[in-house]
Amino acid sequence: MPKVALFVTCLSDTLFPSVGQATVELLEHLGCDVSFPFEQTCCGQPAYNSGYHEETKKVAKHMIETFEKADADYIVGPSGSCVMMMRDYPHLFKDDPVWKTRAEAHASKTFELTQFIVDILEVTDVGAKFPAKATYHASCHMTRLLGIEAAPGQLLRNVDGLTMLPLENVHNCCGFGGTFSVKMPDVSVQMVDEKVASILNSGADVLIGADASCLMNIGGRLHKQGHPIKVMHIAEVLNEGVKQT
Amino acid sequence: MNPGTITNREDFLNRIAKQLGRDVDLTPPKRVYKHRPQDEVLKDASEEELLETFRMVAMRIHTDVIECEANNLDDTLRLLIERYEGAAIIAEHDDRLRAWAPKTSQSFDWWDAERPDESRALAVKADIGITIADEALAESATIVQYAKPGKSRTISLLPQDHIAIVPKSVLVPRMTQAAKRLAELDRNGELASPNGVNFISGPSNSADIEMNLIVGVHGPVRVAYLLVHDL
Amino acid sequence: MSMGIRLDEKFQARRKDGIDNPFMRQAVSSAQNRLRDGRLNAAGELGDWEAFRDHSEEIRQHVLEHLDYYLYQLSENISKRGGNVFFAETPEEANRYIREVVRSKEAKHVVKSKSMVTEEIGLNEALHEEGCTVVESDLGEWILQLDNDPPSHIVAPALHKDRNAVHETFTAHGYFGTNDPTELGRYARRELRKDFLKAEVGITGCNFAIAESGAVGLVTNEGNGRMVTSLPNTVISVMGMERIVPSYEEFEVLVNMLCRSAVGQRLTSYITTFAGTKGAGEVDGPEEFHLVIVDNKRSGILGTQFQSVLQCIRCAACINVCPVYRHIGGHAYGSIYPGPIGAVLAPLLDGYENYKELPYASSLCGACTEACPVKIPLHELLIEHRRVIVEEKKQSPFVERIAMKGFAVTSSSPFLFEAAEQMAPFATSPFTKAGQIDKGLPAWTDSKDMPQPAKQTVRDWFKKRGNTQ
Repeated sequence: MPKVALFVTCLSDTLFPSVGQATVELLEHLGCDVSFPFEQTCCGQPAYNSGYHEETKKVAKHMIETFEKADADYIVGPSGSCVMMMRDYPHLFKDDPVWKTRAEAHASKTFELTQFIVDILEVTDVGAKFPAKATYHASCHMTRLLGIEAAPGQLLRNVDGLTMLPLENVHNCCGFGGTFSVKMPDVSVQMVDEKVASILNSGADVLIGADASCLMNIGGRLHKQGHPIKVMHIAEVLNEGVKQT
Repeated sequence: MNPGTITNREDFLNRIAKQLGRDVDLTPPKRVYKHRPQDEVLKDASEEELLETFRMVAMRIHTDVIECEANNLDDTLRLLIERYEGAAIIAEHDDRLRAWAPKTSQSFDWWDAERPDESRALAVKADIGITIADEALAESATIVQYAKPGKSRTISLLPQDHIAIVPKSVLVPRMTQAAKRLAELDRNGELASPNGVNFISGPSNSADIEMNLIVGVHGPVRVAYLLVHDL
Repeated sequence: MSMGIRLDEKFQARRKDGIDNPFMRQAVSSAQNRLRDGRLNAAGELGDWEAFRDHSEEIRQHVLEHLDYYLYQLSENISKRGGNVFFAETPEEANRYIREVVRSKEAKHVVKSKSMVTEEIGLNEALHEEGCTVVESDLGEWILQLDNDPPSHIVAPALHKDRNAVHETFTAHGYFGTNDPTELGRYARRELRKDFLKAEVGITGCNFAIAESGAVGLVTNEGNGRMVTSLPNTVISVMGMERIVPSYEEFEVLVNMLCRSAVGQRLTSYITTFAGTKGAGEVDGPEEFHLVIVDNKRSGILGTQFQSVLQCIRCAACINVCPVYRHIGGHAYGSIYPGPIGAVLAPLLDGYENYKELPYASSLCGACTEACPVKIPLHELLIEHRRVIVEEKKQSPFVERIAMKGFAVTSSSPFLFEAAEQMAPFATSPFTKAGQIDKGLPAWTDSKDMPQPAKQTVRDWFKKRGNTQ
């Protein structure tokens, strides 16, 4: 039984706890021994992307130590973006050989949820059932920078009853970009409006994504404008119908 | 030829070297590349496949390809000129052209190296400019013209239309082969590459107004490649 | 500095001008879609695009590592071919030299083909002071010149103008025809033909100089580059010092990448190389040739963490995929280099003072990095700029600095972090309606809602339930 330390991510822990819970249940359903290192905090990305790299290092060291103590085979999180940040830790310590080695060990066992299920557990049908018409938002960090493109689609294709509709301009960013969304809200809102228009055009009732940050951004706009599109994290979708087993 | 001047070089290069953390180094660096994907493109294409690529891409870039054998080049060229309704024709000074098209070429003006101003004026007024390609690239339907003594670079540029005679024997897969030949000229001889090389792929065009394709902005409006199979 | 255009307005105001211009946004968005599709098709046709990117990157890196040698070799070979080479550290030096050449020829008419570096150094203004007419012969550049408008894109400079705007400009110039693009193009052809034939001096940019051959290479579609280099008796080419390749072999690779990445063509209509003055017996080509090699702060980038930006071949692929550019347009950047490449380059060439907001004009979506044919890690360089602004220039906003210090303290202390999580639902409750925060953080809540922090976090839930295995 693979030992998995849950990397819950801040957004999922506080704003979208159902995502974290679904992740735990799903991984357990797939036969993992899931632990929750309670001392974990944030991956540090908000500081990193804003240029505060000394601050990021402090946070990164704390996270590395926390997960070292967890002594798991894998670290799995339901966010391509946050996982990408942890995968980038070695780069942060490029002038510090000791921490670089620790960061590399940490990064090499950190996986995004769908990537972990498809590539490590080698499962593409988790046995979920979710009758709905949905479309999928491919988040930039996960797709372009982590290079995870096919895994979410492979998993969603096998969800019983789920019809996946194509999303036009799927490669377009939703406009979140962390602090970008509050530093340049004028531009960010134009970007999210473009994404919202694509989603409405798709004819889907449900928007699925693998990053809570993008979903918070798109969902926040959909909600503000009163569009009745349900926004769900892929962990929640994959946990539908398998919860009780 | 008198060498030109070089000004301010030393300080300039010193500044670069200093930034790179060393002294100026004028030993030729070794060029060791890990990748050479350009050799793989159209690597195993047969001659017929290269011709087919050349034709297909020419069509895509709004360029006519007319094909003939050497023995009917004269008539084919005449028909093509008639189709383009060309009255004033300027041709590059090349004995091959007179030999290949003895009848049709009688009405041409020839670029006269002794009288460049008059020749240029003729080219500006000409309906059609006629040149012979030094090389042709299948992948991009490109013809290559080298600057040479007695030949103007502008016959393929100033007239309203351009007809290039392309002997099939000059066709190579892509720019890779043409570039290799040019590089070898400089490496083996002392700067033996031509003073000017034009890689021409179809008519002049622009997309500067609303991304609409405008064909014929400064250079030729129409371009035809007259592909001669047994030359 | 001439690079700065409309810097009297703040970046936020310039963004608003862009966002409030529906025509520009429609034009940019449809151009981006076409250029992106064109690039992807052209890349796909080439076969192993990633291997071509790797090769292009290694060529550019090699050149930068040995830039002193290749510039030496280039200048030697140009000199042997009868051309003069002038190395200019500053725009002023470059302009002064070019003015001297123009003056010595007693030239009154100068015709130019498209060149970003001459925009960068403000050459046209300098030549006007010399009393010359300077005509931009690229169709897009000519339209802008007639209208006294700066370029908004490095490949398609008049992207922000529609046919009606061009029609208006041409009509003011003396045109009587319709707004049909081909007809407009024919007018430009007739008018500019006169300029080509009358110019005593032609000025070009340089896509790539070829060191081993002493040649300058131009990549164009219109043919104006050929006109400028074969008709006037004197030709001056101006190049940024890094725009150089070792030989025709590397030239070919990068030209291929440039054409495909910039406009989705296998090759553009004209790839033109010219070397020095015309040879013995040649009937055209320049009698006098000058190459001006411009540093203008580029050397200061060498050897730094930003060196890879000098790999740039000015194809604009990054601009053509950038969602921020799509919505604000090129003028908002206030630099002749817009989009992601501009956001990286402008602060380096012209300092942080005017351009320190540009590195933040990105959601870090990485589309630029993915599109770049020479593998410049553009979004990482934007983050690096932010780091320099924060850690070296200490110019980040005070409130942000405090917040980030607080973030680091909180996020490296499990106790504080959990306390913050526990407090969040209560701290936010005054701004909450039906579980959604809908006010209180205007930059967010003016346009988007946000769920209220949960009373029970995942860690609370997990603590209660424990590991069920």
